[in-house]
Amino acid sequence: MSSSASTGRGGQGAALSLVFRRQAAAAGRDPGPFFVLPAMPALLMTVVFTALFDRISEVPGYDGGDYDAFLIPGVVVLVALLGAGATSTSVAADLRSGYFDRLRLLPPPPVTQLIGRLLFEAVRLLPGTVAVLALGFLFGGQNRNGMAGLAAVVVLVCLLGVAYSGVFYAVAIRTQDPQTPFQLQPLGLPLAFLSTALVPLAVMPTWAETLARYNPVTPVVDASRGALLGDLWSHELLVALAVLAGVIVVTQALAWRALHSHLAGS
Amino acid sequence: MPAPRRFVRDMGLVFTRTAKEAIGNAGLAFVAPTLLAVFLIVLFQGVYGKIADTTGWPADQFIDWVAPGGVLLSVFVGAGYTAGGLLRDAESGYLDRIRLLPANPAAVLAGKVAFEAARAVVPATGVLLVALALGADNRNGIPGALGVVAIAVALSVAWNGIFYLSALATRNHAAVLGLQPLFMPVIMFSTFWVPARFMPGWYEAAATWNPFTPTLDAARSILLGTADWGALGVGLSALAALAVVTYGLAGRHYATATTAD
Repeated sequence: MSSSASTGRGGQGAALSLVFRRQAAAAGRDPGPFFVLPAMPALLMTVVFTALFDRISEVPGYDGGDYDAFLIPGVVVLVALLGAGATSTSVAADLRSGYFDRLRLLPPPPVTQLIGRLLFEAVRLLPGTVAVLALGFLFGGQNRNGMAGLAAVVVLVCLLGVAYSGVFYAVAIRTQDPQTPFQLQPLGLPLAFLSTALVPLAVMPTWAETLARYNPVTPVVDASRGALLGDLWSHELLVALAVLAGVIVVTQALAWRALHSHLAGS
Repeated sequence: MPAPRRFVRDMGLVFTRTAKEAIGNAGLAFVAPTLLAVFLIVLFQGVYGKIADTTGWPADQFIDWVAPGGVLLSVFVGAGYTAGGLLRDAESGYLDRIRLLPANPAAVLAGKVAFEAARAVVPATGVLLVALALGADNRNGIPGALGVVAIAVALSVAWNGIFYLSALATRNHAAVLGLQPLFMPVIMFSTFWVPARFMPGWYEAAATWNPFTPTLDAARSILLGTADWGALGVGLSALAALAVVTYGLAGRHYATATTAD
C-alpha cells in the first residue's frame, strides 16, 4: 500500500477495498458456499412450499391473501439466514495463521478486516436474492411496487445478512476454527420458521406465534412483504430498518469485542 | 475355526469396536440425528400444522401424518457416520494392519454396516416416542412401533450404501459430508409432508415415482391402521435394489483397497 493511502480516511478506504477484493477473489475461487449455497434452501422452499402448502390459505383465520404471493417475500429473506457465515470462516483461518497479527504492524486498524468482509457479506447475497425473486415470480410471487419494491427487498436481505453474520464472526474469532461457524448454520432454521416468513401469525399455535412476535426476523419479513405487496414506504419498513440497525450494532459489537480481546491477548 | 464362523466372530469384534467408538461420540452418533429430526417435525408442526384443518386431510392431526416420516428422517440426517469411520480407518493404516492378520477384510465392512443398522434403532425410537408424546397416532401398539423402527433399520442399511460407495470411491471426507443434503429432495418430493391429493399434478407424479414414497407410505399405514403390504413390498424391494447396487460397487473398491500392494 502506498504511504499516501496508508493514513487517514483515504487510507482506510483503500484498506477496506483491498480486504473486500481479497475476500471476493477467495469467493470467486470457491463460489459454492459464497453464492450458490445461500440461495439453495430458499429456491427449494419456493418450489416445494408453493406446491405443498398452498392449502394453508383455506385454514379458518388465515389472513395472508394468496399463499404463493404471501410466501415469496418471506422466502427471499431466508437467503440471508440459511447460507450465513461464509466469510467468517476466512476470519477464523486468518486469525489462526497469524495474518491478523502481521497486519498490526500496518496503519489500518484490524477492524478494517471485519468491515471489508462484512461489505462483501452483503454483496455476495445479491445473486441468490435475485435468483429467488426471479423463481418466486414464476411460482406465483407478485410485485406491486416495481423496481423500487425489488430494491427495498434486496437492501433488507443484505442488511439482515450483515446483522446475522456478526454472530458468526464472534464465534469464528473466539474459536479460530473455520469449521465451527458452519455448525451454527442450523440456527437459521428456527429463526426462519418461527417468523412470519412462511405463514401469518394467525395460523400458528400460541407458542409459535409468541416466538414469532419477538423474533427480529419477523419485522424484516413484514417489511419485505410490504415492499412487494403493499405500500413501499410503510411503517413496517421503518420498523425493520430500526430493528436491523439495532441488531447490527449488537452483533458487530460482539464481533469487535472478541477481536479486541484476541489481539490484546496475543 | 471354520471360515464362516471366523467371519462372524471378526464382524462381531468390529461391531463392538464401532459401537464403543460411537458411545464415546454419542452426541454425533445418536443425539444429533434424533434432535434434528424432532426439531424439523416440531418446526413444521408449528408452521403448517393447521393445514390438517382443511377439507380432505386424511388424518386427525398433522403430526399423525408426519410422524412416520419423522422416524425415517432420523436415518437420513444421521447418515454417513460409519462410512466416515471407515475412511478414518483407511487413513490411519488400520485397514492395512488388518491385512497382516488372518481376518477377512470384508468382516470390517460387514461389522460397520451391522452397527449402522443397530445405530438407527436409537434415533428412530427416540423420534417415535417424541412424536407419540406430541399426540401422534399409533393404532397397532408395540408391534406397529417395532415395524416402523424395523423399516428405519432397513432404510439405514440401504441409504448408507451411498455413503460407503462415496467414501471408498473418493477417499475424501468432504465428498462424504457433501452427500448429506441428498435426502432433502428425496423427502420433499414424496408424501412426507402432505398426501398426494394435496399436490399439483406434476408434483404428485414426482412423488408417485419417488422410490422412497412406498417405504414412507408403508410406515405410515402401519401407524395409522392396516399395514399396506403392497407398499411395504415395493418399498423394501427399492431399498434392496439400492443396497445391492451401492454395496456391490463399494465392495469392489474395498476389495481393491484391501488387496493391492
